[in-house]
Amino acid sequence: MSASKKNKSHNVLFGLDTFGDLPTNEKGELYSHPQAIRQVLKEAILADKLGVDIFAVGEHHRPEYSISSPETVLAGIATSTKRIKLASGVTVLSSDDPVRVFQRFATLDALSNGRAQVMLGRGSFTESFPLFGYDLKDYNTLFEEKIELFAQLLNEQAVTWSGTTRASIKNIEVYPKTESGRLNTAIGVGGSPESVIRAARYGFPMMLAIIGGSPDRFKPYIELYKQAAQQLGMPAHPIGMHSPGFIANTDKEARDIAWPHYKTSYDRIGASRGWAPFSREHYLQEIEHGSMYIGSPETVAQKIAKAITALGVKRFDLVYGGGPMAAHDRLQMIELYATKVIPRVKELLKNG
Amino acid sequence: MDRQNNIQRIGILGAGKVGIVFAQLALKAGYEVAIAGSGDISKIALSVKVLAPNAKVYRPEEIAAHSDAVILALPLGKYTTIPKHTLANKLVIDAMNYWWETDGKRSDLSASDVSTSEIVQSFLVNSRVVKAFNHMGYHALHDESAEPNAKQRKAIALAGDNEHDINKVSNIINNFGFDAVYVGPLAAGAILQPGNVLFGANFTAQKLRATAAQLHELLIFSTSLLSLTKPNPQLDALQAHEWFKCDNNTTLTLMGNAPHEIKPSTIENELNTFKEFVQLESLGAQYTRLIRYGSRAIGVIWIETYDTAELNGPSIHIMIGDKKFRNKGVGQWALERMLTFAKNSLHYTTMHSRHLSSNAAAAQLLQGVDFKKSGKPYLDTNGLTWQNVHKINL
Repeated sequence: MSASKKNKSHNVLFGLDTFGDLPTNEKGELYSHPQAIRQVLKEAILADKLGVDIFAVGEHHRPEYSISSPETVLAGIATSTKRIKLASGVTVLSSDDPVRVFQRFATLDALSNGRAQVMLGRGSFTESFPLFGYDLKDYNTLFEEKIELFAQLLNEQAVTWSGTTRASIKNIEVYPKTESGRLNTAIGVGGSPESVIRAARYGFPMMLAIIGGSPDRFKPYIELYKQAAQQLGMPAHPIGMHSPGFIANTDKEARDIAWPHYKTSYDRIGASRGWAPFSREHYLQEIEHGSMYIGSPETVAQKIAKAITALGVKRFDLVYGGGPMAAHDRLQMIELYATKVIPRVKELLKNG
Repeated sequence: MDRQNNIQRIGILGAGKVGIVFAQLALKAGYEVAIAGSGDISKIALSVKVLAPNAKVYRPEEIAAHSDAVILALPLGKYTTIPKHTLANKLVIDAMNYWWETDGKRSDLSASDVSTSEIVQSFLVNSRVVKAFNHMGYHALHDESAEPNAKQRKAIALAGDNEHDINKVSNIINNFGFDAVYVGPLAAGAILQPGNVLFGANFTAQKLRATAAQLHELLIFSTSLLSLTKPNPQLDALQAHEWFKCDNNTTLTLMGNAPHEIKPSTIENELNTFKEFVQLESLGAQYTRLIRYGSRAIGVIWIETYDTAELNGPSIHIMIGDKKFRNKGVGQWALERMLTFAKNSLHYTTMHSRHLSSNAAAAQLLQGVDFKKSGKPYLDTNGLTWQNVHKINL
């Protein structure tokens, strides 16, 4: 963000995303939720120290993830870090109150001296619906209405709004106000054309969750975002992407360490959706041709550079720590990402 | 490209992630494409223009008029919103799945042995529904499409009841860039649904076929998959050999055959038996039907029209060759239908049968369809004890 703006390749921001998966200790025992949350803090501090641009945490309400309240975790990180941007990834707006989401992130923005970003999304899970008393059949209406209200809140002026999913608001100011006058807001999209157009309609930057298959598939979606923004007379912001990955010293080490954890995590989710168990073949296919960035620093850097070039994105976030991985492997991964992968990707992008 | 069966225009109901991928595949294959979202054209016009250029956008009720086959790519929970009257007589390809996170919890759509395509077929009562494409994720559908001779080309499973339609859909699958693997009637499509090993399958034809064969065995038994058909000697001989080859003659002994009457099971011997059945039927001497589960033969039922030394009048006989299907009510199911056939087509009023006195399962089965004992048990020349039974007023 600083002196590097003049160089095209340096325009790309690099982030780390986590859901606060419960890691394991040296003995292979699973961390408790509080331990896992403190581990995330430790990781964020390391990422900040090593110069990673963004640290994002996602909201989940499942036993294997420790983070259900991203902005609380981010507030903790804010007071222990200096420059890293602090983002949610994502905040499940459908089952939250837009006014409170705004207030909590505006507070985070104050604590972090303007480093907060809220990323709104529908999330890939639905546990928050029964938890907060919403009906899945209202999925679309909830998101549509709440994003409309949130867009108004961002103007930081008195709000007047009415809808079916929340009490009306009549000409009320919402506090705190931010220093910049506008809270940094993005929208997370999984690839439905409707969501892409919605991001363009509200003039939000779009972050693509590319969690399976070839990233090339998203090229037309980026074109759709640009054309929709143009038609609707909104600014087309730079686009970002996030994908899962793991880095170790060699390809083999990385694949072997990550495999059982991805399998555990995929199969647990799959069981509720009726997916067949995750096969090693599928895993390797995703590593070689799909959207898993797993390997040595060189392998992962090459793959990231390729995706960034193919899609022309300006932000790449690596989702790390999928499944019950050892805490020390996660820390080593962050170190390799910051000190080896990111510089190498920048070099690759510079050299075309 | 191959334009067999005159499918030139593909219609797609649903313009979300999945519907768009179908539009892209169909356009790449050279089809004319008509696509509709849930309503207004304006809501999807831009998406379609950018993501699937050259596909034409219509309202859902206009799709049928612009297509020779229609792919369903909307959330399954909304199937009752499909404009069913416009789809009368149309070939419809059901690619939908129950997905509770979109559809909400629906007990009507989530039973593990119910093919949701049958539910769709019973709603689209005048359409011809084939299940296909549902098992592969939309990423993979987009990424894996390949030329016919490509190495490791991936396969799409289909399930349906009508041979012509199955051929048409197989052809579409092939043109979309995949090998087609037929897995059985529409009801058998349950094996492709969430919760089964094939859901999410991104396999070659060989692996898909092998996995489907295993699943048919594991599947919760459903009488809707049973049928009675005439023998197909070449295929049924292979299946019969499977029944007998590791059976140590227990099945045929249970049927009352003495050791010297049992020929070793070879494919050739089985083939001769089935050919004999076909010949006997052409003479009006015996009516043989294979009991099938999906496409697989699991047993035989037959009516002998001639008198024998022991049975005076037409008689019925049944054998469930595939042990996995015993004690599941298959015998009763087959007897009831075969007796109806005997009454309506052969105009019999009385039917005879017999079983070994020691075979309690056979005795119970025949009693279950109202056969009564005729006389006392008796010894045959092989020293076996039999009980004759009969049923009047068919």
